[in-house]
Amino acid sequence: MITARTVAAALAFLVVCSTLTVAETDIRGFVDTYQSIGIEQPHRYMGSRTRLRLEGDLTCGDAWAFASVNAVYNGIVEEETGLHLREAYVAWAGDRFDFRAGNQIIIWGRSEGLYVTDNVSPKDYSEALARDFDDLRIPVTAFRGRLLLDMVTVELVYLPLFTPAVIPYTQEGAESDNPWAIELPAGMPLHETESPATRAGNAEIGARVSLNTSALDIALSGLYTWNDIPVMHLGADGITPRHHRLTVWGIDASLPVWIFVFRGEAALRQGDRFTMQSGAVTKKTGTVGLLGIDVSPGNEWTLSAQAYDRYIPGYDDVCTEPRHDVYATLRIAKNVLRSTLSLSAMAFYGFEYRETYCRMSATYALTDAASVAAGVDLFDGNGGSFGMYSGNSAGFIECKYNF
Amino acid sequence: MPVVQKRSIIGPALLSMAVAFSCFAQESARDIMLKIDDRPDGNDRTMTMTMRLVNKRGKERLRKMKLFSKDYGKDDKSLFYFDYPGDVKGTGFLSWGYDNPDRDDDRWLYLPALKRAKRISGASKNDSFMGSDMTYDDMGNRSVDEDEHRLLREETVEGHSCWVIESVPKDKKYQYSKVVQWYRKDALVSLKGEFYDRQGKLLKTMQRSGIEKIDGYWVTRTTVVENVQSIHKTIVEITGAQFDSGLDDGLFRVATLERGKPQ
Repeated sequence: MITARTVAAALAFLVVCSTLTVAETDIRGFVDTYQSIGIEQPHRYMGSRTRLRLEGDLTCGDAWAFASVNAVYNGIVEEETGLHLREAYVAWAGDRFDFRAGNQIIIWGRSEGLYVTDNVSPKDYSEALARDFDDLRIPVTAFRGRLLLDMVTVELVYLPLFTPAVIPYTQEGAESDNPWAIELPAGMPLHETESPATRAGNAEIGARVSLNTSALDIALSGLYTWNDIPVMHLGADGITPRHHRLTVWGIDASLPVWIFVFRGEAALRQGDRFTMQSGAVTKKTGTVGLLGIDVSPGNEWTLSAQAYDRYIPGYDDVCTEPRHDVYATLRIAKNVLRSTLSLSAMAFYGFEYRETYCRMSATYALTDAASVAAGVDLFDGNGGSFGMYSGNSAGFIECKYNF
Repeated sequence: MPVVQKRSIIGPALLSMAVAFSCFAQESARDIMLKIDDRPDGNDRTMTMTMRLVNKRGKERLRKMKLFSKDYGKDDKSLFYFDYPGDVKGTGFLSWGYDNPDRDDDRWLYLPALKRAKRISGASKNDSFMGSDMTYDDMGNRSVDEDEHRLLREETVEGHSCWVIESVPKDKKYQYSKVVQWYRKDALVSLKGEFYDRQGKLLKTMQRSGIEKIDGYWVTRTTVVENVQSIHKTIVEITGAQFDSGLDDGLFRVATLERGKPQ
């Protein structure tokens, strides 16, 4: 857990950075406020937060340190209010190597809003989709080293400490302040999550080898990890969330062709757990795949589409999850008024539960530093990742000042 | 998006290098354009670019970026890091540009919020560059033989003897129907230009000033590009230009881009 003392130390670090003259310093950040209100009666608040983000670099020769701190007031999710250390790491770069140690966000893969090989940094779903996708990541304590060849990069990661995803739960029928809390069956007590003990044997390790050429970007990866989202073990005395070992083998690629960029990702998940209708948990090797296309037709239009499938080979009919869990996404964006106004719409459709999620937004740059965004999040469906929020459709406004 | 291209709108303004030579009056327009295209511009370049975007009400917006580029024969690689405004600070843009007109640039974009480099299309060139009056194609390489050139006349502009050359794109779908530029004979630098839309109407004008030699190469301090139809202009200023500083090849790797800084 990050303490206020830790955050204060990071803030002090940033201040000291700004006063040092022997090295290059850079302080930046933003203040933003996000307010969201439900479209349906009783027009519940879906999000209310104000945030100061402070980031700083201290660079001395080939080495540098970076820290990022959030000071948050959250009117909906009280646990989010406070000072939070995000990233804090030291880094060094040589001609053929670079190295980074500390709390950091590590992102693999090429998909947008759906995760296939991107399993290093877990996600924070405490406000679920009331956050931007790029704000969902949780930094992990990690050592990351890279061997940099001309077109090939070999990346090794070592995570000595397990960091779980953050998921808010509530009991079915219970009142919860957080509209994004996931309901668990009523009358089933939720026990404490069984997480891996902090010891060397429980570390996570991974490697990714990527090739960047004119014709193709491609990467192979392997990650010996834990499932960030715990599996729910149903017992006579309640529900016990438990993290399990997981090995993920992945491949991802991008192929540019004229105004198109074709993207693909696939992963083999050894040790995936699935819940049976009996409540028992079974261990299988799951697969996940994604195909995407980005289109840049010009005149500041961008379009992208993705198709995603999580497949359970050797499917057992008594499994509570579908054999195929298929999603499709579509994103359209256009900049107008000399890029001062950005219009975008992104939609998800889940085939199994016939669920939809669509975010439409407009962001206007009032000045170089200040912007205001407004939009709607629309949910529909009877279940699944998005349909379970079908009562949470909301309009939002976000004001931001960058410095 | 090569930074320093002699036949782009902005490229020559950034770094216009030339060697003195005698009059090419007898040469064809294409020969002149080939000489302009081939003039020495150093093996690598580093500079800071500031863009002021001014709308018709006089309201200004500012863009600042650090640029690195290096030649690889007729091809080049370039790297941009944006410094201002704050919402794009740390954004990186890597481009491998090719002299072959049939080959699109290779491009990657690094967004600090996403913490990864994303492959983007090199074929989309008529998007505005950072909301300015230049498109990505204006900023990039354009091969001599992508246009038909015609020497219209010779003129003296601000005391400099110039060729006035009209360039008509062979691709009729190109963003301009024709471009007319005034090239200084001594420096092989375009002093001013006119850019016509597909309907043949004047769309943009370009003016350059503060042309001087740095490290033996011509540099244009200030370029003003004005869209006369929308009454909007972009003022580009170059500072801290350095040449042949021996930029490492590793700077132009995707893995370097993903560091989020030119380290």
